[in-house]
Formats: sequence, C-alpha cells, structure tokens
Amino acid sequence: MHIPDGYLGPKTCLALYTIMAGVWYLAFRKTRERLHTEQLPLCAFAAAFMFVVMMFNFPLPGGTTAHITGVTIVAIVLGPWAAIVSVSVTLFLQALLFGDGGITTFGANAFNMAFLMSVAGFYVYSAIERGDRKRVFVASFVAAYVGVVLSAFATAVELGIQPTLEVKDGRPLYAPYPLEITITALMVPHLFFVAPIEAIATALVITYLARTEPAIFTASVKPSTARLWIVLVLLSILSPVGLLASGSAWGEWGREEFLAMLGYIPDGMDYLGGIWNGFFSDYKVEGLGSAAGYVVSALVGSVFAVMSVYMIGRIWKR
Amino acid sequence: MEEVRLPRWLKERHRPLPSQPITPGFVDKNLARIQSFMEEVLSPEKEISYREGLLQKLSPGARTGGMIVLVVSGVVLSKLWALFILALVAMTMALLSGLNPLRIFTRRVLPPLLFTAIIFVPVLFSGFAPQERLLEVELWGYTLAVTHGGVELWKMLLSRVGVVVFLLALLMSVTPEQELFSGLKALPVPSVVVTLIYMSFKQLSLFLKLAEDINLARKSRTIRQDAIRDEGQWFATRVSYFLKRAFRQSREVSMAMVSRGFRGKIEPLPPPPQGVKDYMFLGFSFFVFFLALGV
Repeated sequence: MHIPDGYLGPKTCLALYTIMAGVWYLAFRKTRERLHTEQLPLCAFAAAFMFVVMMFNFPLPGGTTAHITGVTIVAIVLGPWAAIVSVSVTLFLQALLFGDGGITTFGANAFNMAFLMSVAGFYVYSAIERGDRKRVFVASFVAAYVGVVLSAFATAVELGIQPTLEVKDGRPLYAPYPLEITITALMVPHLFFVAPIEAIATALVITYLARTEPAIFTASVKPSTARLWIVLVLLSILSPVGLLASGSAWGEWGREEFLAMLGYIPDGMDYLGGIWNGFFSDYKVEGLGSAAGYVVSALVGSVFAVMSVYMIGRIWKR
Repeated sequence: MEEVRLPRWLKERHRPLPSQPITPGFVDKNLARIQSFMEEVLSPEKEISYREGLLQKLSPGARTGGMIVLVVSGVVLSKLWALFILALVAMTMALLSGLNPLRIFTRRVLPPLLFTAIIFVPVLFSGFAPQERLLEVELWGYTLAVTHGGVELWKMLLSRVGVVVFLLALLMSVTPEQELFSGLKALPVPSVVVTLIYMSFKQLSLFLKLAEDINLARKSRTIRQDAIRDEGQWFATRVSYFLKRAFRQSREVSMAMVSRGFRGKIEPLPPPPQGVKDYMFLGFSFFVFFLALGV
C-alpha cells in the first residue's frame, strides 16, 4: 500500500501533505502532553519495533507467509496520537532506506497508514472492548481489519481520482486507472487476504499481551456514547450530499428506467413492483424538500436502528 | 582398572528421527529479509559517500534540499523529452560524484521500474489511449489493440518513476546516514522530528540483531515443521516479547536522558554555514523546478 513517487499528482500530494501537517502538529502536541520526556524514546522505539516487525513473516497454511504492519498493535497499546508519530517515522525510514513509498507521496502514505489505520484501529478497539478483557481478541481482530480496509480504500481513492484531477489533452498524467479499477483491484485482496491476516496476527499479539502484561496498555478512552450520537447526527445532516450524484445506483432502477434501458418492463417486476413503498418512499417526506426529507429519513432510521439494537441487547442479556 | 559405567539413558536405543527434509519455513524467510536489509543499509558502498565528488563536497542541507527539489521537479514534469534531459542531468551528477550510473540503475532503479512497467501494461491498450493503432492482439476471442498514445503514455509514466527513483538513490549513495539527518535539520523540519528519526534509526541495528537472534534460536531448535497454530503462537509471543523489550529499553533511555539534563526541549546545534557551491546547487535545483512548472 506504499504509493511510490510519480503515481500521484502534485495537487493530491500537496493536499495530503497539508492535511498531515495539521495532524502531525496535533499528534506531537498530544503525545508531549501525555508522555513529557518519554515522548522521544517511546515513539522512536515504537517506530523501530514496527520497522522490524514488518520483517517478521506470519506463517500461513500451505507454507506461504505474509508480513504484518503492527500499526494497530502500537495504536492499541500507545494510543492513536503516539501511533501516528511512530508510524510516520517508520514510513519515512522505509521510504529513505528501502525506497518503499515515495518522498512526494509520503504525505499520502502517512495519511493512509499513520492516520487512518491508527485512529480507526484504536477507536474501534475501544468501542468493542469497553474494559472487558474477554473481548480483547474480537476487539483487536475487528480493529485491525477495519484499519487495513479503511487504509486500502483511501489508497484506492487517491489513485483512482488521478485520471480526473491530472489530465492534459485528454490523457492522464499520473496513475491512469479510474476509481472503478483501483477500488476493485485494491479492495478485493485487502478484504479477503491482507486484512484477515493482519487481524489474526494483531489479535494473537494483543491477547497475549493482555494476559501477560496488562500494564503495557497505557492508552484508554472512557466509553462514551455521546461521541457516537454526535457522529450519527452529523452523518444524518450530511446525508443529502448523495443527491449531488446523478442517476440511480446500479440495480436500484425504477420502472421508467427499465423501460428506457430495455424497452419493456419484465412481468414479475410489473406485478410486484410498488407493492410496498415504505413510510418514507425514496427518502421523501411530504411537505419537505428533498434534502430536508433525506435528513429526517436518516434521523428516523438511525433512531429505529439504535432502539432495535438496544432492545435486542436487553433481551439477550436476560 | 575401574569399570566404566555408562549412564542408563546412553544405553537406550532411540528410534531414528524421521528423515524428512526441513523445507525453508517462515523463520528462514525472516532471516533472509533481515540479512538482506542489513546488507543494504550497511553496504560497503557507503565509502562512496566519503569521496571527493561533486555532490559529496556540498553541505548536507544543500545536498538534501537540492535533490528533493529535483525529485519534485521530476514528479511535476509531464513531457518525455524533459524527463530525458533531467535523467541526463542526474547521470552527469552521478558521474561527477564518482558513481557508476549503470550500477545505481541496476541495483536501485530496476526493481521498482519493472514493478511499475507491469502494473501499467494495460495503459498500452486502446481502452486508455484510443489513438492510432500500432498492433492488434487476439486473445481468447477479444481483440486488444496497442495504440501509439498508449505507448507514449506508458513511456512517460515509466520515465517519471525511473528518473525520480534514480535521483533518490543518488542522494542515498552520496550521503552517509549521519549527514542525512543533519541535512534534514537544515531544512524546515522541526528538530524534535529529526531527533526522533535519528533515534529510531539508531535502534534499528540493535533490534535487527535481536530479531536475527530470536529467529536463529528458533531455527536451531527446529527438527521438523510445527503445526500452523503453534507457529502462529510462537510468532505472537515473540512479537509481544519484542514490544515489551522495546518499551523497557525506551524507559531506560528516557531515564538516562533525564538524568543528563533533558527536560523535553531539543536544543539543536546550528547547521553548518552554506558556501557558494551550496547556493549554486540550490539555485540550479530551483531553476530546474521553475522550468518544470512551465513545461
């Protein structure tokens, strides 16, 4: 997932360097506040640890092997900010010493692996584990899986937007593959091979550490549903952004669209189509505009989903 | 003469071990990776960085900064002839610094270039650059057409990657690691960051030795391959041990730093003054960069 030099255009590189400059500043400040004089040696040793762990091969059936990154391990143990600092240092050393990843694309690689993987890994782990050591294996498995997939997705998007952003005389100037190709090419191997391997290895290591040296876990986050609610409300308010996309999602065509595509409506669809339109058909609410209807639909849907999970959880506990 | 009594266990007959060959497993791959890295980083070719060549005579800051500006120029360029000229400039700098450009190309540039060439093969075909067809290939009933535009695009993408990787390899060949870090200090990189990178680098060789010892210990006790589950457990325990060791050592280093007066603030030494040669090289790099913007 290390993007080499020459694959991303100057606009993308500059934008991601700018974002990471802010992230790095914040990460350094937060780690200095928490670790004080220990900041430098701890982050340096964690970076060296990750560098060496990437050389450890994980045994797989059939005699094959794979190597892990160790990013989620460090994020869970040290916290996301220290992990961002350490992973960035590791990536820089890899770019310089190994040529693994470029210098102009260092901002992009740091965004994908140092920022996204660390933050996603830590917060997913904290949300699932919630102080219950019995859930350590599952929490670290899911955290590492989500981190790797998110990072791979970000890489795919960065490569896939190049033909749109950097074009001259109709010719792409950098990575030439559009989003449809980059997302498929990167997500399929990461979803089915890379992420499960990283997840299993991370879960094994974290479980062993939790059993033998629980004091090593220096970072924690107080379980709080307030943040989740804030995120849910924000996402609901942002839901009308989807209206900017034109056309219909693949496979969600209506009768008129079928008629236009095929010249006829299949009998089964003609008979069954429109039997049930839901309470908020097409996410519209009578009397409200399409954007407002989207927001209300998202809020109502989220409340129903949370209430259903809560009720199921209460029944399960009994 | 005293009778020699053999211990009972020596008289016991053991079944011979099954004569199954031990195929290289993940431990051997670990050792191979570690050894290959140590050869790369501690390569004897580092003596080149101490020769009296064009780039070696520059101050670390000017050399690092100037080469990074040239790398950025290479990324910005989108014309094949401009990339070719930049490649010639890079090769001339290598020759004037006492390096063999072909050696740099085969050792450092060729592997990523081959990788890029394979990744970008679909670009040759009409799906990406539907222009004048040069060659048509029939494959499983489908006709694939190699176009002139596709070939030009492929050459441009490869040339850019090749030139940029060559420039970075040149920088690493003429710069000892010590000067690389002092070069970073001369750039607008915060001194705490440079110190952090330097500390990580210094720990690498120690950690690599430890990793090598861990794997050698495992290998020396291996008479046949273990079950996947046991090998996975070994992996998890060793990585955990590594992490615990790293944290323990970091605490010791932190205490040693504090006992010597460190209070969290880095006081960097002023970078060495830049000479006329350094300003000329920086000026030349920026000149190339502004030219690249206009091309």
